[in-house]
Amino acid sequence: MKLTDEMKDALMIIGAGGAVVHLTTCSADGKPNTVGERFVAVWKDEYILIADMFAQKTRLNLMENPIGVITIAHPVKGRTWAFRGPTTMLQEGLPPDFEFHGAKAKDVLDEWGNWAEKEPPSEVPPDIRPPRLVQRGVMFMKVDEVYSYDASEAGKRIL
Amino acid sequence: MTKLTPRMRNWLEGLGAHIGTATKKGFPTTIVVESAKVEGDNIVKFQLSEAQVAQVKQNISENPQVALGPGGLGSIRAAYQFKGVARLESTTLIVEVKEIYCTKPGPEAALRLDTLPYENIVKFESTRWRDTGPPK
Amino acid sequence: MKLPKEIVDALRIKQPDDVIVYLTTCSVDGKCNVSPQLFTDVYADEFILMPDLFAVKTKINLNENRVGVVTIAHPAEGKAWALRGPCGHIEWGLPDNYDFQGVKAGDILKKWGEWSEKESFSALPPDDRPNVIAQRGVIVLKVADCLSVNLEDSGKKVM
Repeated sequence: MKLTDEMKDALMIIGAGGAVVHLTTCSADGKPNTVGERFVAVWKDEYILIADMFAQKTRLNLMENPIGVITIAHPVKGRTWAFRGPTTMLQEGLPPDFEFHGAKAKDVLDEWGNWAEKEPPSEVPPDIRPPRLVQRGVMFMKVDEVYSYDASEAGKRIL
Repeated sequence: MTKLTPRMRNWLEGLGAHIGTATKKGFPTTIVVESAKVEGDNIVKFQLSEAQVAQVKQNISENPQVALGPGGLGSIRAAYQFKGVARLESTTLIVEVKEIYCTKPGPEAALRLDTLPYENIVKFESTRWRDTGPPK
Repeated sequence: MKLPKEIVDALRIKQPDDVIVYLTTCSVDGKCNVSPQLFTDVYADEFILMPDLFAVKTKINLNENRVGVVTIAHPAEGKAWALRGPCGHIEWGLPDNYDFQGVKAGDILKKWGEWSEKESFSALPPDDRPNVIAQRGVIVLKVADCLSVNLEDSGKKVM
């Protein structure tokens, strides 16, 4: 499924505070974890990436239940979208041919394995800037569906 | 249903485990047992000394959750962690393994294995490790 | 509690892979996690230090229940100790004067925050070596109890 240009624009805002999303994952027995994420990008029009800087429970959940939902948190501006699909962690050290839903880990990490090069921390406002960027890899979603989270039509399929 | 692979069995039976127990409020006590017997798909039995029984009896009775890290060289070569529930029958600690994790340092640390199909766990092992158990 | 030289020598930095320990932690409701640690050092004869490289559940547990047990897994001969005490993690980004059980974050991070400068990770056997090291901080355990893990007197206070 290809994301629309409007969606891609909403997910990739470099500098000026950038886009903020929430990533929801859950354990295999259904305990959810929803966490704000700042370093977001889109890859090949159908995957959403988030830098893995400090993931703990998210990581555990994805290790046992590889699915997630990403919701736009800021700026919303009517873009009340929820993206859902298979989600994993791609990290340096995975076997060279490791593939996740059509994407090669190596290709993704070659481009996004060093996020600071693409989006220097200095572009992030000091009050939300991590003290030290230690990137482990990326959280990586293949978007299978997009639905609305607007209260009046929550759950309505958009794509 | 969790099922241990032959490699997991071999390491546990050969070198035992460090067994983490805790009170219900989360105060840990670890004991070390140097061998084990695996029965069926997911039952691991440890023969404890009287001193070990005394050490963990209260913990197990109030909180049966335990974690097992393979002993000796298994701590690095057999990078698994097994979690489950335990009960004491006389001096035998019987652990029913419910969860299996990879603890190999790197990107797959904390990967949960028991949620994969059994064939995939075996395949995962065969592409990460060359041995099938501890050295003889 | 000051550790005797025998224990300090077993745990301090010598060669990579020279000693492997387990760090047992548990959630606040008592679910245990036993995590192998390939690198250890000792500070002021009473704090056991381990780099935070891939700790996931360990950190989640320490965030809610600051106690841990270190046992020696390999080589274990003559080292049948369980070292228990308050345990926390000192992460990059904490203020220098952050205090955990009498140690200051700044002192610990300055000396052990880049563990690879003290102990080469690349010297580990290839099968056991992480491809990419991303140290987040240092796990600190202040030893309060030293118990035997010998079969015959397991649980007996050694000190």
